[in-house]
Amino acid sequence: MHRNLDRLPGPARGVVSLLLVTLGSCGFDPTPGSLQFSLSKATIEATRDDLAARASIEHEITALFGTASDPRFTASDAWPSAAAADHSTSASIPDLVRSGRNYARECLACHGVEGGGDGPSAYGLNPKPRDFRNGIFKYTALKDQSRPRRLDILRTLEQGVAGTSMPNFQRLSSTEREGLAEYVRFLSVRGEVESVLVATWKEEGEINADTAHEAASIVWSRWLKSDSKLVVFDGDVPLSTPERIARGDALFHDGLKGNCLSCHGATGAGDGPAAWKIGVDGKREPAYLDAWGEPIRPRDLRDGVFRGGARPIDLYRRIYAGIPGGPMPALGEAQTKDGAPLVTPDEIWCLVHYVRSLSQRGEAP
Amino acid sequence: MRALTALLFVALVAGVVWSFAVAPERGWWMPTSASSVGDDVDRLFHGITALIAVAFVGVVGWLAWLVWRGTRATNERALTNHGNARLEGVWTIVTGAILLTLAIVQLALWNTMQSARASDVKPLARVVAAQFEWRFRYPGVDAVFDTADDFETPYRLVVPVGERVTLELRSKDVIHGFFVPAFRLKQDVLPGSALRTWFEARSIGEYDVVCSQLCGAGHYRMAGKIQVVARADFDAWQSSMQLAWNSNGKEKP
Repeated sequence: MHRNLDRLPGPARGVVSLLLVTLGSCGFDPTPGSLQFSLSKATIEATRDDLAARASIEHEITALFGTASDPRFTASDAWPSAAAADHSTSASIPDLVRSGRNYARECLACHGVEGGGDGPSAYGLNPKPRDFRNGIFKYTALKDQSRPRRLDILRTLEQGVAGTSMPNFQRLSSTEREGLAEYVRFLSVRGEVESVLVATWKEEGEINADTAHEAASIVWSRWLKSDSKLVVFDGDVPLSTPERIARGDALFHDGLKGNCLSCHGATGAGDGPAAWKIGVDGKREPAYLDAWGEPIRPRDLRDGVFRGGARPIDLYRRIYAGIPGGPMPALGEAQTKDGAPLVTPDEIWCLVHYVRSLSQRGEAP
Repeated sequence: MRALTALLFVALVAGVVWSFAVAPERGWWMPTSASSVGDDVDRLFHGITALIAVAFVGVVGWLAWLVWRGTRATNERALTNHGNARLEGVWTIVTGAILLTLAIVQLALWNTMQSARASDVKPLARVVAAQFEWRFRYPGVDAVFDTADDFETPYRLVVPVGERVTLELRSKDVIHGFFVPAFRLKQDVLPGSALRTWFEARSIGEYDVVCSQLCGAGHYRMAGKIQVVARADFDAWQSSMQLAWNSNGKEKP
């Protein structure tokens, strides 16, 4: 129903969306079986003229991932063991079916049945709830735009995403959270496989169980690489000193080094020239779209609200590895023309301390 | 029929009195008081509840009697009454005196509970409310907020036992209510203001923090915890948090 909202006249739309927002997240507990996985809008659009192909894509997806009331991942034997490898308390994590029910209770209202970020309460949220289905997660501890580890999703569930509508979920037990992280990963792999299947169908003209299995193993192999991609720093985190902040200040404004000001602006207000353009109506609008097709604005660093976490290492990771899905570059991996690293880890720490200093006004309480 | 109607009122009184009488043992009552002001708040609350109980039983009981008497099938003429100045005077003065007494009796406790407003004590932590979660920011060793050694935790506020703890309350969006039932502490959190409140936890344990102002669709799930620990444990926790805050990323992410 909410998908048809745009057809209503303005005031009616306001009332209906208010009702949806109010009622949509009222902690309903759908009975298993009442929820169904649907194909994504993109898939439906791509297969508009070939309903047989749409049906076979849906069939293969269901064969691989089950239904919303009976979710399972059949393509990989590695799933359970990989799940157990990256944490210590695997003993009693709820299985996918139970986590699916928890997901329906806790997450579905915003993130939607398939994790498409299109739940009933998503309408009117800014920023929009994440669409997991392309496998891109912005706030991880990893480099090379890697798929997240379960620990990365778990950290988001523990900490929330500051400055957005995503709260922390510490009122759930840690095993429930681990199960939810697992389910998010499941939905994400499912969504990625769906888009790979559509691409395969476009290329080869047909889909069968073999191509589906191949697609699943290609997608799943991306997720298996993540453990080697952790961004860490050798040694103790350098302290914030006036010298380091000054050095960070210089790097921030150096067009050949940090070049942060091009988007974040000279004062860190997020008003840098590269991030904005003049739209057709003569108004200033963001120059970039993110991987989900939404306009993306550079963070105003003076607020001290850091979505991926406010610890120094969180900011270090953002600067070192960039933010997947948006224009924030991976400075730690960048090189100069002669192949030398553009910035050293210590210079990144200087940037971190400078960025943190922008919101550290040291107010006497 | 008239007996039934009158009985309804009697049953109402009996039901209410019974539910109050069994509430504590059935767990319908407030959680056990765990702060320095809790017992005083409870005494005041119980006193007011007792006063209200007397008025409630009297008024509804009288109503029951009137229903019983008024529905008698007799030819008795109804009494016409154009007011009774003496009666009105009495009930105005009596209720006024009761209210005034209550206002005076609670003054000292109210001032104690509100005393964090004027104090120049540095807050132990800053509570940041947002739709729909509590985040807690500690000022670190320098006891000054918004400096390099601050650290944050969502959900869980850790405080030392037996000490006066001052909090600074801020909101990022709408009005929230910082409510700790076990501490009998409830303070609205207003966007744009840095309000203060305080408590002194009497015993070690874990207590619920909830939001007491309807703040949106997720209001009911805006939960947090206060963990009260011994001073030594608090200091150890604070240093471990500070260490973890300056992680180089090699342990948990």
